[in-house]
Amino acid sequence: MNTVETLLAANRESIVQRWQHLILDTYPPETAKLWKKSSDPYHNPVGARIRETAEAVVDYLASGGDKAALEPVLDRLDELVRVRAVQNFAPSQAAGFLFLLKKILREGFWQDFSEANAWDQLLAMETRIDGLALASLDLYAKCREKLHEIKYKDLERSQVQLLKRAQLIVGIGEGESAD
Amino acid sequence: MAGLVTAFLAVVALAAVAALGAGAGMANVFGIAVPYVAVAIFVAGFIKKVIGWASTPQPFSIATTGGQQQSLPWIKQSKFDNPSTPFQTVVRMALEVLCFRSLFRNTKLDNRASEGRVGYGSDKSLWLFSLMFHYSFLIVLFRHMRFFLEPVPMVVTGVEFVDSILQIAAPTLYLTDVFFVVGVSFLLARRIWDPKVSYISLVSDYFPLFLILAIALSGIYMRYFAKVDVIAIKQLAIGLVSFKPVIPPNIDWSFYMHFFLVCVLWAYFPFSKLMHLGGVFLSPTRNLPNNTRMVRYINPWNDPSIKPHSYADYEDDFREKMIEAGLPVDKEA
Amino acid sequence: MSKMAPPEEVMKVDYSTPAESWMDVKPEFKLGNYSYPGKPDVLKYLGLPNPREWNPVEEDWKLPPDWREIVRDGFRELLKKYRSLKVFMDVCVRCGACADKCHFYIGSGDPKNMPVLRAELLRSIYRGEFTVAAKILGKLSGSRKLEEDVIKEWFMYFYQCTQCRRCSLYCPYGIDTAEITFLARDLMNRIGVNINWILEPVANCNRTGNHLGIQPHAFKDMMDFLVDDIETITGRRVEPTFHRKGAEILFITPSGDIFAEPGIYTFMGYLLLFDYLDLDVTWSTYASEGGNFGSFTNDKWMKKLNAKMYHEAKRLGVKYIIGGECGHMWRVLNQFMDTMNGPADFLEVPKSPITGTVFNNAKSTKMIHLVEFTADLIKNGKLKLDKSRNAGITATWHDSCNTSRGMGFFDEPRYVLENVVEKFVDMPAQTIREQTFCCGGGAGLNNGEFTEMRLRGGLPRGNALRYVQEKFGVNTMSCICAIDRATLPGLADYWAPGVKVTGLHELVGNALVFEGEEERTMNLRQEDLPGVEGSEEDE
Repeated sequence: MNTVETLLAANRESIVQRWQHLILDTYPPETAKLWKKSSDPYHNPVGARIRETAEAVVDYLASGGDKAALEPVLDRLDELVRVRAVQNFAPSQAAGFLFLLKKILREGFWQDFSEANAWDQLLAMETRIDGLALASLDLYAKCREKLHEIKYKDLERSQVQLLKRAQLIVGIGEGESAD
Repeated sequence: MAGLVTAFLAVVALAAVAALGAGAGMANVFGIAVPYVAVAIFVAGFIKKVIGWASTPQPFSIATTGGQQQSLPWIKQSKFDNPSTPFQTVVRMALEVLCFRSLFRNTKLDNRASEGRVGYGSDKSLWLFSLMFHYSFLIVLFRHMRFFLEPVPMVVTGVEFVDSILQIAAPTLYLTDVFFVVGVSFLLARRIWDPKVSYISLVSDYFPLFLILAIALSGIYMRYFAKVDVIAIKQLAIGLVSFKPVIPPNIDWSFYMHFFLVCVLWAYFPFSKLMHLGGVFLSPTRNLPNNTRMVRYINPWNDPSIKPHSYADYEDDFREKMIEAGLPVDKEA
Repeated sequence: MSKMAPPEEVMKVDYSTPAESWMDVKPEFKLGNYSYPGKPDVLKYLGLPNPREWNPVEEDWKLPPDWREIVRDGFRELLKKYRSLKVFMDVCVRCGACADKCHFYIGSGDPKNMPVLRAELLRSIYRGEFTVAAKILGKLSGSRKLEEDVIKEWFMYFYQCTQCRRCSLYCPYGIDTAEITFLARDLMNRIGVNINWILEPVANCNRTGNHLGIQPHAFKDMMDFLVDDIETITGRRVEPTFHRKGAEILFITPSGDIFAEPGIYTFMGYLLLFDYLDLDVTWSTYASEGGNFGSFTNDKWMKKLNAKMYHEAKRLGVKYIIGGECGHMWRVLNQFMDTMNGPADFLEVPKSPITGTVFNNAKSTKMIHLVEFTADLIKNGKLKLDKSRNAGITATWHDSCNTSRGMGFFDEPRYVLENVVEKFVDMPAQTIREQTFCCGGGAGLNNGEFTEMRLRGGLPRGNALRYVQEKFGVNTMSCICAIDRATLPGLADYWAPGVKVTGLHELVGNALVFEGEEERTMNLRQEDLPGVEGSEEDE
């Protein structure tokens, strides 16, 4: 582990907590107020997802380089993005919460980076965060695609017999080949 | 937050008015005039409110069913959560009023899928402390009968005996005094610190809590610290209920404060949410049986002039298409 | 460091905004969190006031000039007609027991989705307009004046309530938000503030008998498609009849079952069951809608639409009525129908012609639930069922809000389900039975434009479903509600992908073994049965 990763691992709890707060701040103030005050994030399912995702991401980043598996952390990101994708957010807001982690690193550990002259490591770390942010954007897009797919499937399902009747369709027959 | 402060200041002001006023020679006002007016307001206001509710029709039978309905004979009905007879409904109401059945159900969100908890865990704290608060209030109120009745009935002394069974301190500590303060403090603390409850709270939520807390604390001060002249107070109380009011000398200012706050509570009661005392009996989702497929429930304003779009009109609209499709019709084209 | 662009600026996060009092927060209409307004032609047809083109995102809602008087007078009228409203306006102590019970609140965190605040939207006006306290204490008493913003708030939040009544279960005074929402919508209807996906179905149900406005001949065509499909699957030609006078039973189900997936498979289940029993049952195109969108509108339209059922039963001279799988339909049938349109003295107390069971629990309405009827058949051993036809299914049961908290219908459907599938497991205890979570689509909110909000509100149900999916391998959620069948497939697809949604009688239809039948190779969805895959190619 390099300096930045060590810092991340050593301050896991406080980073997770701070990040969780910043993510809750992306909600409207009255919502943030209700969700933040509760000491236990598990007291709402959205809070639980934020907490678990934040932990998974910090652990992933702290575990260094390419050693950690990407799949599980993407699954966790999906949990959170899936919720945020239907919570009235703009795409930048829904998927951009990863950038808030950069803010925490810079504001919290600037001095440490400076002393250790670990700028190249910080850049590498931020690049990895950027990577996860892009992945979140992909996940967001997938969720929104799914949302629209659900919309048209709902519509189709709700009128399936009408379509059948209106189009007066004829099937191709089962297993018959066109000659 | 404004609500909290306003309510607190209001109660402090009321307490001060009584404490200072009685000291300044206005004992007649606080010992005689105010209590009569307050009780009159309470009685008239309470009756008016309840009659207002009771005289309004309940058009539909809308029980909220909390368990299995009466169904086929081999399916076990949840009789007291989903009553189908008047008796079962009375039991349901008794459980609601006496045991706070619905609050007993309360859950809180608790979402740890990995530990098998998906969303919700039982949360009985509100139930427990509300129950504690309400029953302590009832017993304390009952104990006060000793001031209004001479001789003091056995049942009142009996309750006092049980209530002071621990024999701590002198005068002996009543358990309900403690439970009462703990209960009301919990309700207040919850209103301040639970973000959900604090967001929805109004002045009219904080005010009665502060008022009741002030009543309790002033009463405790009188009994355990000021050790007021109980004989004199009883003389005043009996004078009031026998409509021959007197103001005995030697009554401590703290009594007037306590008594005035109680009067404020009486007078405030009918105009406030405290009317849930009466309302709980009239809630149509609880006091009606779920038997509406067995017994017709009557709506006094049911409008018989509302008729369906008739079949005849429907057939007129679509007759030819119906005939063509081979659907039977009443009138041929 | 100050030169670096803070991400929160791009994301428009504002840490400094303090949370305001709820009265000062204005609703923000965005596509996805509201439903489209009622169309002028529909309002005209229904005789509802103030038909016009309007758009919730625009500033001007084109309310009638005297809208304040209309709302005030209407409120006064409803307070005289509904004890429920009067009591519920007075007794709330804001204990907050209901606060986190609403699926929309859980998913959105919007405080106005807490049932207590939803009711306060109305209560604040009640206090401001009708109580003494407000005149003395003003805003301190929690009251406010009727302004246009209040109406906008009402429109937002009373159309973000599915009338599922979960909050009412936990309320120590039984305050029922469904009642409050119903009456608030009544008030809004008086000034032309309403949504199209309620009113157009009301209009269609009135004229054509079903909510999509399908004409009788087309309705019959669709029945024929399903009859053909049944023949393809089972080799049997079932012969349902329409408007047959003198039949013993009239059957009414939500019309969604005849034209929407997956309801059509449930519909086939009904047809197969009736054929199996050789039941003397008839259908009606006139009374072909079990659902009652009037119950999302006002008491007049609820009554008018419901009245068709008895009207048709009387015309056809049937003995009693059986109702199909639906949610709010059954709340209306259980708690409202007899009061509004009874007494049904021209009908007889329902008696199963197969088992002789008399349904005394419906001795006044004379209308029984098909699931009661089927449960009784199974209990008496009258159905030969082969669970292996539903092999591969690990089912869970979604209790529909209205049959749960407006009826108490829990063990009957579970009994049937356990008899037709090999594996059944319930979702966690506090998400089922009377504590069940809504699909998010009740009370007229199962429209396309509301999908995003509906999925948000579907989070609690989705969480519970995903839990049993991961833990027990649940792959099918069964239910007895047409709105569930319309909305749960989307909910499952989003929150627990891979779980499919079925009606109960679809599974019954699959399992039903006819005497001397051809061996079935597919289920009612025309999917190959497990173990016979590829059987067609072998032939």
